Amino acid sequence: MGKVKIPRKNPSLDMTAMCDMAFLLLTFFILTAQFKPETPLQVDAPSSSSNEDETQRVLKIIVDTTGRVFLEIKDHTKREEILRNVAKHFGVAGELGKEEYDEFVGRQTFGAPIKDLVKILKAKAISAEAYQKIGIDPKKMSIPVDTIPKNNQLSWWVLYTREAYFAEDRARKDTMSKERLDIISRPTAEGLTPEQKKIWEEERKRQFKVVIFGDRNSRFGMMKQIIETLRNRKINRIHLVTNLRQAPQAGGSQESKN
Amino acid sequence: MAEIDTSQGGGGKKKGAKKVSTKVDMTPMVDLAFLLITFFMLTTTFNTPKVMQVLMPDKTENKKEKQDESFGKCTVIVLGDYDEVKKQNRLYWYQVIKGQQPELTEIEYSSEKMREFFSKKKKEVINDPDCKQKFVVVIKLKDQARFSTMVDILDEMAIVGVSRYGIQDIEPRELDLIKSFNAQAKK
Repeated sequence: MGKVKIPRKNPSLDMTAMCDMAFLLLTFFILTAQFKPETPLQVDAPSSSSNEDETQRVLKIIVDTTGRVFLEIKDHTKREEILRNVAKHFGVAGELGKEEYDEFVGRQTFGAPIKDLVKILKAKAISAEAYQKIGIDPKKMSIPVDTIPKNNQLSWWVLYTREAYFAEDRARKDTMSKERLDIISRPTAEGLTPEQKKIWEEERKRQFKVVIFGDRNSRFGMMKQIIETLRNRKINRIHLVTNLRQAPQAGGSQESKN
Repeated sequence: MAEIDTSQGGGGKKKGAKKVSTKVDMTPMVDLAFLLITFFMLTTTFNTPKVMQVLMPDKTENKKEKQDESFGKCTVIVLGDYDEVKKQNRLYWYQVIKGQQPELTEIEYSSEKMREFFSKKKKEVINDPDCKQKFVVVIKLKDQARFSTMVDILDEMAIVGVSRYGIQDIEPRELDLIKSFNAQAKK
């Protein structure tokens, strides 16, 4: 019994639990991840207390502070058809081949006059340098929203996008039962059973929407032109993308200043 | 590393069959997991974007009827502007009352002040028997006004509960009103 042995403690921990948790969180984040869509425009949406979610079937009109207009067609299966119709309208359909269409389908957002767009698709340009190479100023790229209806290209993009969605809707409606058609054609969900309400709401979410994604510092003049363009196409229900801010209670006055 | 080694505790001298630990060192795995978590947390846009609905009147609809009710003491006309020099939003209001010169009043640009103003006006109009509970707000913004002004006003409409509102083009005489208001304020 000479030496007093100090029990040596191993300082390492059991990391199994931590590992479990880390992977649980990881799984969660992977599953909920929705990558920020890349846009060539810097847009900071204004805030509102509206809590309505953006749906999938939308045409998004993106407007930045300098008034440049880009479009985003979320559903990539419709992009080819839309481009085909717009190109036909502006008489440039002959310049587009399969490769150009494929290139367009791969692009979520675009914003250039149709003639430039053809050039961009041909050159497969994606960076600022590439645009300059084919003689397009990337800082001036925008879809023309002209007050003269003939030159208002946005108006035609809107028309043909809506057409594409409507055509799909018509085809869907042909296959629907009469009951379902009756439910979804109601203006409000009042007086429906919970099950019917579900169908009704589902259909509401499927409705084609035009969404304006404007920067908080965009000029109202530009917005007015866009809204007028939509109204001329008989689109009177317009959605504006906003960031959520805490909704105050009605009549309250102690909300934090925004 | 990750295993808890108990063999060196009290029974250090004990000799037996060599036990191979089945435990795996988990440190690198945890490292990697947290790295990925950080990455996904930073790249996720958590909530889907929110949208706000705006209804514009149909262009082909007969406007005449609406025009009649939209002026008078039941209607507030809100004018929005952006001061390029001071870099701030400006908001004014006035009412069209027969036989009186329209007079602009400024509303301080903050959500509280706007809400206070609209709730007060709404109460006034609702209690007025001539208005038949119809409170109308007409929003007119100058071209250089900011998009956020429009959204802020529309948002207040929703919060205060004004169901009759419209966005209209600003008229030249209203531009003059703003001009003279600002000229007077400077004096």
